[in-house]
Amino acid sequence: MKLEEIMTRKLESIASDASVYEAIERMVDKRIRSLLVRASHPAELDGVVTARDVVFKVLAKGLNPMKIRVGDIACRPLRCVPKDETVENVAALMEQANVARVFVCDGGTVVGLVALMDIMQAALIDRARNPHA
Amino acid sequence: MWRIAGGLFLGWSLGANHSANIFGTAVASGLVRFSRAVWLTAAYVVLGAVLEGTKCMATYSKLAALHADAAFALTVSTAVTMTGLTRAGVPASTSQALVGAIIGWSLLNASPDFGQLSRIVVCWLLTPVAAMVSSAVLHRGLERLVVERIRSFSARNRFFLVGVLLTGCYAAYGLGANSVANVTGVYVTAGLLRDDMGALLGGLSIATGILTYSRRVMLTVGKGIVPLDPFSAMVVVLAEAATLHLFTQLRVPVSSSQAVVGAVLGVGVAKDLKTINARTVLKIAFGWVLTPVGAGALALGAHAVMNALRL
Amino acid sequence: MLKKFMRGNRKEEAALTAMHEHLDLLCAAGHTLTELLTSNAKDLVEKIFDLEREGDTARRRVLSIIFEGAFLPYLRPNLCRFVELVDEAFDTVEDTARYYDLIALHPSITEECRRIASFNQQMCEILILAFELAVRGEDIREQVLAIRILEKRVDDLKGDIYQKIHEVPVADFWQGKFYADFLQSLTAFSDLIEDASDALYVLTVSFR
Repeated sequence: MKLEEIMTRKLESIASDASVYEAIERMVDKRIRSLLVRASHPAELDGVVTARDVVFKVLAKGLNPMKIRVGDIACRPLRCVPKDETVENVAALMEQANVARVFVCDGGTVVGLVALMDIMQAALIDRARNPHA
Repeated sequence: MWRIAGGLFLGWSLGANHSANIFGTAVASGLVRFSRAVWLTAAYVVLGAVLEGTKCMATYSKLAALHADAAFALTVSTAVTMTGLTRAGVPASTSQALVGAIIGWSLLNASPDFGQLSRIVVCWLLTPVAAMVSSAVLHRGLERLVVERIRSFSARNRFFLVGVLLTGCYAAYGLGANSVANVTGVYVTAGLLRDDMGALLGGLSIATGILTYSRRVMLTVGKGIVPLDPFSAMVVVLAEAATLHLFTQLRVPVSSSQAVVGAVLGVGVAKDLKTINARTVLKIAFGWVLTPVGAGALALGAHAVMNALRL
Repeated sequence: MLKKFMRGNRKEEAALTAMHEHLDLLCAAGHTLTELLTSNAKDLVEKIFDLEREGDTARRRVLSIIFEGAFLPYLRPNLCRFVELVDEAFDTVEDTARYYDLIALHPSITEECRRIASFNQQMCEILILAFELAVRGEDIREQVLAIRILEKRVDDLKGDIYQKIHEVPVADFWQGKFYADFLQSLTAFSDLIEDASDALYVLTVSFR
């Protein structure tokens, strides 16, 4: 199965200068767990911020999410895989890095996102299509 | 000879009421057409009565000595009791009513054989138990042997259709063999009929009841059991048939309705389902007491009246 | 007796074969629709119409065999329900093609529509597989789950489309109506396939 078939193409991103509070708003609005953080300055790299980062690095420490930049808590660099990578390799990569999602890149641009749930569902569909494998 | 009419009437009502225990589910669910079901039941009832029906008759003659008038009074009071209990929705048993009537009748003059009576009562108590055990065992066993091997849709479909017909015929055979003694047994005891004649006439009267008056009961009883899946429904009928056949070999007439209730309970045990509630059990126990007592009281009354008229 | 035994089986086999044919035709139509949305070769619309007519014939054949007394009565309602659901799904494919012929699909939602068509096709293939397994008496819960997952995907895509739909310019009322009907029938397919797979599952369970 190709990564392209199972990835989410719709990427939600946020500028790294935005506040963590804005990021929380976006996640709640769109019912998603992560955002792509686009670098606002040439010196910065793109990153990703997840609900995990928001809770562990800001909320649980009693910090004010309004006053913190998303760029300061984002994880960098982006974990990118080429879009013709196999699902098995991606799963292995996720296990090794202990992350729940990786980005799918085509050349230098991010084209999609594959999360654990996508892989799980893909595996289930695969099983259903090959019942005696 | 006219007195036999009482027995034939009893046979007719027995056929009308008990045939539902055989193809009721199949007919109510449209599996077997009503006409086919009643003809098959009638045919196998007569066959069972003729081939093995005489086995249970001796039991009645051992119970008490009877004369021809007594036989008539007994069958009529049995039929009356049965009609009343069936209307009340109690799964009543013709054999229990008849035995009650015989005991009630004999209380006035000759003493009945209580040893024989206790043997019969033990068999009654064992009927639902035997049906329950056999249906639980059959369910488990047949599921392993057959249903798990016949997996294809159409083959299994065919298996159920043929299985329901075969078990139904077997149950009809068992019903005929076991319960024909209820119908004409007392006449054989009274010396009015030879036992093979009694078996044939009794079988024919049951068959007439099935052919003429079983539709309503068959549909209501059948719909009550439908929630069972086809396999379980088949097992219930098979267990009922086996139970009736078993007690025929022991020469004791028992209740097919109570065998069915026991068999349904057995399926519940095998499938870990709650198929029966305390009320049903209570109803059966109630029937065990009420059926013989009611019929006995009636027969006793009839005996007293007849004695009074003669005197 | 044995002869009758075999002949009885043949009726059920005939019904199952006709049902399989019906499903095959549905998949062929789904495949053609995917092709139509990718290649935009409008002559494929006619092909879909033809497939729908053939499917209708297959459906009528199945129902008449069942009506003649194939299968235990317990199973007939669910079998018929399954066939009807598959047929309704067929109708949505036909409608989708018909409305597609009448509109010009806007580039902003083309990709989503193609992906929905492709998911629909996958669901149909899995449904055939589930049917084959069920007929052999095997468990189909994995297939039912896969169909549910794909249905969810289609639902998500539908949500994406409806968020973007404001950008699509509409010339007049009828253009707008056809557009809405096109999207409606394109996305209704997956619901019907999901229902059909559920009906099939109930069928296998009621046979135990």
